[in-house]
Amino acid sequence: MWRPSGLFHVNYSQEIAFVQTPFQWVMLVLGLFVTFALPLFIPLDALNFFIKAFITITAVLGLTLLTGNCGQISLGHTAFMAVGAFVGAPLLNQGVPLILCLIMAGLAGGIVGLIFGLPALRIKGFYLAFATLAAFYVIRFILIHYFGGVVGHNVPPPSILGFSFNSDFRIYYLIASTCFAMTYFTKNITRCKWGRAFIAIRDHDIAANTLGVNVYFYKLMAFFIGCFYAGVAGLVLSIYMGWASVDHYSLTNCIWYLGMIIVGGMHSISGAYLGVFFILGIEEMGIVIAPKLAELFPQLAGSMIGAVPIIFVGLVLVLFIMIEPRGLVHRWEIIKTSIRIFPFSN
Amino acid sequence: MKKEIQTANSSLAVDKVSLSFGKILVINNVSFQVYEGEILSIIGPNGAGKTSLLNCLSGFYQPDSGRITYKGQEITKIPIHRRASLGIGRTFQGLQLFPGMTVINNIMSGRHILMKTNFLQAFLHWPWVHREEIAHREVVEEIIDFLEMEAIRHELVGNLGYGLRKRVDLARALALEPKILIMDEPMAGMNMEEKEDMARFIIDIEEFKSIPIILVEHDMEVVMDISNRIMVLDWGNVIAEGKPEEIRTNPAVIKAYLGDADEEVNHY
Amino acid sequence: MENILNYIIAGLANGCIYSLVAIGFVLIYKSSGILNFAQGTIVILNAFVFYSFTIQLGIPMVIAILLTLAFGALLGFVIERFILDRLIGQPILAVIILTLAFSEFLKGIMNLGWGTDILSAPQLFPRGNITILNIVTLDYSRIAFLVITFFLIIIFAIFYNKTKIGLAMKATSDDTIAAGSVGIRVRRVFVVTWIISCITAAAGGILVTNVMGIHIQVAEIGFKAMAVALVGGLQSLPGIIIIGPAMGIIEFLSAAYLDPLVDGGMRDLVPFIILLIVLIFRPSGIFGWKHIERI
Ligand SMILES: Nc1ncnc2c1ncn2[C@@H]1O[C@H](COP(=O)(O)OP(=O)(O)OP(=O)(O)O)[C@@H](O)[C@H]1O
Ligand SMILES: [Mg+2]
Repeated sequence: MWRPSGLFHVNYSQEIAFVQTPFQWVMLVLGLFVTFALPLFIPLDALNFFIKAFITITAVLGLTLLTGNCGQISLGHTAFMAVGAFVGAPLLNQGVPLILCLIMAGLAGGIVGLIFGLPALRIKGFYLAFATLAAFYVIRFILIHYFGGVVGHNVPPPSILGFSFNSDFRIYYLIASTCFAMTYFTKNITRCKWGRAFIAIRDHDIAANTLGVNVYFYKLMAFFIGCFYAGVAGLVLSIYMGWASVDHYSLTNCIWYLGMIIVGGMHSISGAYLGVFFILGIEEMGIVIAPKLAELFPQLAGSMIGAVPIIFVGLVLVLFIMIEPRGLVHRWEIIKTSIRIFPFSN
Repeated sequence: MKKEIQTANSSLAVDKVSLSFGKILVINNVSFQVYEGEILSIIGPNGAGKTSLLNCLSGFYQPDSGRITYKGQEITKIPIHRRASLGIGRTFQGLQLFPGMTVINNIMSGRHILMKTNFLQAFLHWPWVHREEIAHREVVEEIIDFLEMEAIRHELVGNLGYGLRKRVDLARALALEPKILIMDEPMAGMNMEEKEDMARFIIDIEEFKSIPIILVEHDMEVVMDISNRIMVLDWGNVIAEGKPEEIRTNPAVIKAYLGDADEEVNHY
Repeated sequence: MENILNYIIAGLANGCIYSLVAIGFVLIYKSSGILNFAQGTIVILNAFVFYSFTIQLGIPMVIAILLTLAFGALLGFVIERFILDRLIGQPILAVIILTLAFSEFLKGIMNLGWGTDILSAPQLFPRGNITILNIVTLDYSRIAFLVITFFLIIIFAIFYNKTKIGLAMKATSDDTIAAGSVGIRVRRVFVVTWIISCITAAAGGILVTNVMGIHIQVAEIGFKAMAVALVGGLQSLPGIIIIGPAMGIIEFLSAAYLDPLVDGGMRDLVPFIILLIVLIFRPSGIFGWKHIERI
């Protein structure tokens, strides 16, 4: 966000405020207005893109906290989303109020995440990454075998106070509001002692420990919170799809999510937004181009639609991480500083 | 110039502590006391076991035998994070800061144990969370003034020079309002000017906050200048203990520090 | 009784392949500290290439095998040159996601190139089996598996412990900086490591698809082999050589005896469950050792 070179806060309260400059106020109000007016102006495909983006942001914010801030790599994120969906969907079916279902889905994701986060108390890095990958397969197995997995659950359009979210147009509002609420919560977590404890653990767990941070507790809480987001996002996704099936929660998606936080620069909310739109944009390009390629190469037409978006995103992520492993936000910071100190930059 | 230390008021007592890694005995039956209001320096050649001893105090290593008591309470086996709440602050030999945070946030993380915000409050940013942040921020600003770091408070510590990082480390340890401060080579790698500043801060802390300080440091001049008492470790054994003047002339100490050099000279 | 023995033998044969594939990425991990999550995909890519050489191009078997191994070597070289170069010293998350994204990319390419049907691999060994003492029935391909992987592991052990470049690899894995300072060309060691790793992947691919068929899903063998490596202890080659067959046996036994209880799928799950349990109780693996952090 653009800031004048001479921004001086007059009290500490301003420094931790959600919105810090008049310019940001304007942006926030404008942003909210545009988001909520959007469905009136854009075609349905574009709307679907934004719906997907907001769901993904909700999930990725959880990873921003868990992996970006607390440094605990989780390759099981989509599995925790599935847990949220598989707990929330039957509840919705039984007529439990939507808000309650979302909270229950979040709690279910969070608790399962906490359980599978237990190895994090003893391992980190590659080991933890692989342990969470194992968790992905274990959870998937359990969902398929004991919670009606492959067939899954039908999800009826939910409603709040008689307003039924029964079209993509209406669901958009549900999803955008959920996403913004979760964004606000993320900001809250990161601007108090919890956010600092997470980063402290990521940067130097031993030092954090000597400062009195109970590393075990906060790691588990990071899993709980991160997977809470996953659970909520999972249920929201199943509402959008009208169906909860394990196939919507693939490992590929989980890889993309982690790729998004890398692209965005790991630990900031704006990074999460940036990364999601960037990667989903690339994927969308693949989806649009695939049928055209299929016309050019008819003998490959069968697999084009499925393969091209994956090839696109995979390739872009590989190139991106090779060139700028610290993400767009990092690059942006560099540009910003060099603009601010303009004649003196090199 | 130096005040007399009351040997009746013991803050921390180490009793016959030993530690070994595999077959290597790193600390051998070490006992000592730290009294209220004193600066106790621990010196010794590289690899003498100084850092390992401090690690036992902060709980990062478990001694094989012996007891550590702090204000009458045994702390040998309690978890690392609980020691901070008891008031044990610590700075590190290397750079153990949080490079992803600004100076302010590094120091604020030192306030962790004093802040009470729970998970739900944090999630919803209760008004009280906001007030708590600000109250603690004010204390942190005092520390920043005290250590003269006003100009860098918003820098990422990853971008700071070595000397300043050491200062942030100290600020972070002070932020938890320690009742005893453990410092591992706070002046290593500093230039003359930075060392003088750091020495001044240490004396000020001892004076204004009147807390005992355990100092591990290689710079003899500084050590002789500011310590009330010095303990010398060599190969995990305490070989001498006493006032700076006594240590300066202690033959065992001279031998430990110069022993090898002497032998070398004798060869020619 | 006969049944159990049969399962054990079959599991043993399969488990040897895990060891073979696991050696591939353990070598990389030991030398450059990078865990290659794409190994399984590389295994199956080589199998597809082998399929093209034999079935689609009609190249004679032995030459096709050699060509596939050469392809594996080339792949290893290319990956090292163009990707690994950038990875050393990067955050672990970047390394993991890069290898995983690369793996997805390769899967997409394979999807385009060879489709999604299960292709049947060219027959390497004659069909049929022999029965020993009326107790164990062994089919030829399983015997071949055992013999071949055993053989490959021996060759590998000799290479690693006796040849100059093998010893350089060993030194580099113990301490990269020290190895560099005594004149070992670390970059060259990395290249050789990747080449060997991809050759073992090619060998594994050719062998395993011979019983399982060629299909992208087979790439999950990479994750199973990784579970084997972590359970054995990432630094310990002997550990991996022991745990691979053990894992194979457990897998087949649980498929036989647990599947009826949970209606199927245990075979693919058991390695992960074992891994999670081992990581909780022995974080550095059964034969691994702990890396002590100092402050
Ligand atoms: N975690 C560990 N595992 C094995 N050996 C260790 C460990 N930590 C320390 N040591 C050994 O213990 C001995 C004492 O080390 P220590 O770091 O305590 O020395 P020191 O007095 O602080 O030295 P310096 O002045 O160089 O900081 C050294 O020989 C060191 O190699
Ligand atoms: Mg030391």
